[in-house]
Amino acid sequence: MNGTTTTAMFRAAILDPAKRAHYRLAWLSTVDHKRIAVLYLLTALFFFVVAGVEALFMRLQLALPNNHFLHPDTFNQLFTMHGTTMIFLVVMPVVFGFVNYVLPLQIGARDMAFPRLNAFGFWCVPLGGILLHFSVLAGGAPAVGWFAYAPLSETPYSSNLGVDYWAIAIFVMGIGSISLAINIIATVISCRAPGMTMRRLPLFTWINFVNAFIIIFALPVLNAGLAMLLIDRRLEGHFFLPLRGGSAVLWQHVFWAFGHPEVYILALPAFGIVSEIVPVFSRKPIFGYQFVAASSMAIALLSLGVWGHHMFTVGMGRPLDLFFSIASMLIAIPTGVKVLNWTATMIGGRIRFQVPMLFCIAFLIQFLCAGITGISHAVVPLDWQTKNSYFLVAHFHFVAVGAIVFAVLGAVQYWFPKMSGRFLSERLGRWTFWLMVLGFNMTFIIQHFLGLLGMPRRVFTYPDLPHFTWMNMLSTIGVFFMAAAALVLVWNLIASFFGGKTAGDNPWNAWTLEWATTSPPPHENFYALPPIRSRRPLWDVANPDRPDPVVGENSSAIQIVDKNKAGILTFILSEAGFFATLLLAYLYFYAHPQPGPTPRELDVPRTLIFSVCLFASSLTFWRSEIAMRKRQRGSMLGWLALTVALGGIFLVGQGTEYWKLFQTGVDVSTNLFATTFFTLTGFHGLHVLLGLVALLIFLWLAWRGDFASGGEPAFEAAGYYWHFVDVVWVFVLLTVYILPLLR
Amino acid sequence: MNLADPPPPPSPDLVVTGHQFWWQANYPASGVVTANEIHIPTGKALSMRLDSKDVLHEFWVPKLNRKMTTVPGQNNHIWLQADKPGVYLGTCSEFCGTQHAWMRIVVVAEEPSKFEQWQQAQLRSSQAPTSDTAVKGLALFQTSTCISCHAIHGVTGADAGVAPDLTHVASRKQLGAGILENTPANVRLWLKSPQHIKPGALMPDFNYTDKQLDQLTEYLETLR
Repeated sequence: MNGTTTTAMFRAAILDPAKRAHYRLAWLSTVDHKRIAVLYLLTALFFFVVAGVEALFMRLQLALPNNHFLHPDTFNQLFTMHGTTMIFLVVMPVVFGFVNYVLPLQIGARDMAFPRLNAFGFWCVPLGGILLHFSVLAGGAPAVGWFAYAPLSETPYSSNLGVDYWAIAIFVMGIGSISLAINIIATVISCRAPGMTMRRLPLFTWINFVNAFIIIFALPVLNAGLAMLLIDRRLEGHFFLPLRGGSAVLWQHVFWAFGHPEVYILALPAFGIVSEIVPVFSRKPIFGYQFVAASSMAIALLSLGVWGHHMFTVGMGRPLDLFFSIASMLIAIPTGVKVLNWTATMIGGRIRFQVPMLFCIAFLIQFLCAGITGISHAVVPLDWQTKNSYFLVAHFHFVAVGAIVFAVLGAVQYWFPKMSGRFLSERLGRWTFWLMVLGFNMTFIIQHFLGLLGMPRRVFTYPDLPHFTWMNMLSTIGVFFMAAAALVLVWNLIASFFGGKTAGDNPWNAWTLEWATTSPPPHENFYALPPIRSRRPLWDVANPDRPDPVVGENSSAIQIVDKNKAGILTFILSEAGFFATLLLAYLYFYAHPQPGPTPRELDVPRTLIFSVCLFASSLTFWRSEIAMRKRQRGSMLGWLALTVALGGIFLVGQGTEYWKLFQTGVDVSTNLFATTFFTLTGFHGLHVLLGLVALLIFLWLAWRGDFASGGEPAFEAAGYYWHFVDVVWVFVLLTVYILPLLR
Repeated sequence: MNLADPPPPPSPDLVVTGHQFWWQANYPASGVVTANEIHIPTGKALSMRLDSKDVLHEFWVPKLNRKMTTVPGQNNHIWLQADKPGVYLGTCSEFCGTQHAWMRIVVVAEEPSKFEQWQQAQLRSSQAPTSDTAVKGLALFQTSTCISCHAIHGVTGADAGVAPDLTHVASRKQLGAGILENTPANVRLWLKSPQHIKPGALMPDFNYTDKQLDQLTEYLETLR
């Protein structure tokens, strides 16, 4: 096709009304990372307003003691929805939006590694949002708090569909987050521009790369927990129902094993934002790049082992209390290192006090306060007093608003010119900033003292005790300043989008690659990339006489791992977390047997026979892969068909086992052994089934003549998945079938 | 203060059980049963076992001790000690449902001798009412469904443990786990429509007539 016809077709498309409609729809069907990013950001803004209004109503109810403005159930629904919405529909989408926009640009990539998966990940968010809010029409929103402690979240105590919608919505959004994390990892590993070595990555990208791994490890744990909760609620399982032998504390372990890493999932991108803005507005490179990067990894690792500090009052016992206390204090070290890095970057810099920097300075101070109150929660005896009080409410709002939202507002001001080509108004930005500083601190500082005076969280009203009333009133007044700040922000976004000052490619004289292209960037991001030899390629371009020191070897070639391989391995990691959680739940209840059926009812010899079939299918797939590489089509098809057949036999075997159990009256609701057995083997069976569907698709493609050229990464990727499903069965077989024989 | 809590003794001095949305307190040694108001002797560390009948609750009296969650099926233990006499306010601090806000508790610390008097008073069975209205109130208590949930020691058939024990209800400071001061007028108000006063509480509205309300109130006021 030559250039003239393309232009003609393009013009025809613009002029034809029907085709114009298609272009408007293009925002819905887009797979461009920049458009997806904008969709993320707009979704987050919408839900920010929703959850903000919810907060406003709650503060109005709490302005006076013994207030009757809201029904208690309404209030309880409001705080549940406020928390859930702010975390899953505001902060996660907003940081995902910035990551989506900025990360590929910063590494000089044309798009994310998997653009369609990227679109899928985004659309999980509105779907989750709709599911969550649909509960209001389906009998009432959930009223159990954002961590839905069992057994309150179980059907005997929350009988309407609110909790079900809540669980399904978060499950869906969890899948979306995991798919984005896979995409981020594959993009950073496989799509960097020549010269962009890992040691030259901008810190925003580095930190979000690390963050993607926390998502990979943490979200599947939550999804496993939600699956168990839904099995309890809809299929009468007993995981978290103490009346039937289940454990309320297990839910807390599962939830916080996700929930605390989640705090860092939200906070690390904010650290990334600050690590970009502070150097640019101090006109200095970041102080201690390696320390910022390494401390992020330390935070990521430690974050997975601190969840128990949410549970010091459930009676875990002293050894566990001590472990989680120490781990939680340790995490203050890498976090403190970061604060030092940012502060040291500012020292001696020529600081430009523009709006993005103002937000970062406020971030630093407020985050320091949040960190200090945070450490107080790691000190077990202090936590025994402050936990579940307004002190805690104040602490996590200092993290979520004082740190994360402030950093995000800085990011909005910083990257808006890149996204729209226009500056946000500096004057309105200052209004937002000062209103936020005033409103936020007025609302939340006083809540520390309310908590210390004994006001518990999640109460719809309180008695007129000394100091309670004026303190609550002050807190409520503060919210109005924050609401005003939000209104100014929205007005600023609209007005500046249409009439803001033109920004140009690099309005802040920044140094990372997103500023090396037009504002907004063209479809595939770059017309040409500058040479990348250091961490600040644009500094090198602007100052050829005194460039930054070259980092690492001065070679433009970088080793690229195939993105399919990177993607599938990351996916397998996340699946491993999911199954590990189910396995641990199985073992937990195996150690506390309940009356009723036990593993002894299972037919071990028969299971061994069909297990052999499943294991053999890994071997046959391997043979099929070899045949593919040798381009022996017939042999490849044969081995692949045998793989499918063996997988099918396994499923039939498992089906007969289920059938026999059903015949003897054993189903998922019989007792805890049955609940855990069916959940574990059922999810594994489901994965085998999905694997079979994938293999059948590959079989069909191969039959049509695909993969004739030899190496095919997608085929190998499917193989990794299939082997993984078999490995999971090794663990299930050992735990469920072999372990009881050893007793 | 001890560096670490001493291990719990085999039998606790006090068993506190969380219910949606009130506290039950049992004194195993003496057999006293009460609700939403605990009396303790000053200067003594009481061993306290926490239990729950339904969901998670959390016992928190900020001035006296740490928080501790009540977990159904898992007996948690804490120590409770007041050095000075006084009234200490506490509350449930783990969200437990609609009326979590009004699941408050009062701890009354008294000199050991006064505590002993209180304990002796609590151990007495209720006396048969003397006034005509109160007699009718008792009959109402027995014939409407009150007795399927509430216990009154000394009244035949009234031994259920689903709702607060009312044997000495008139001696307590508050109604509805802290929502109202315990006055005859408020008792009447509560009986008229518990769901209006404390929506979501597990006590339903009974739509008593004004006369019945007077009778029940007068009877309950005899339970000192």
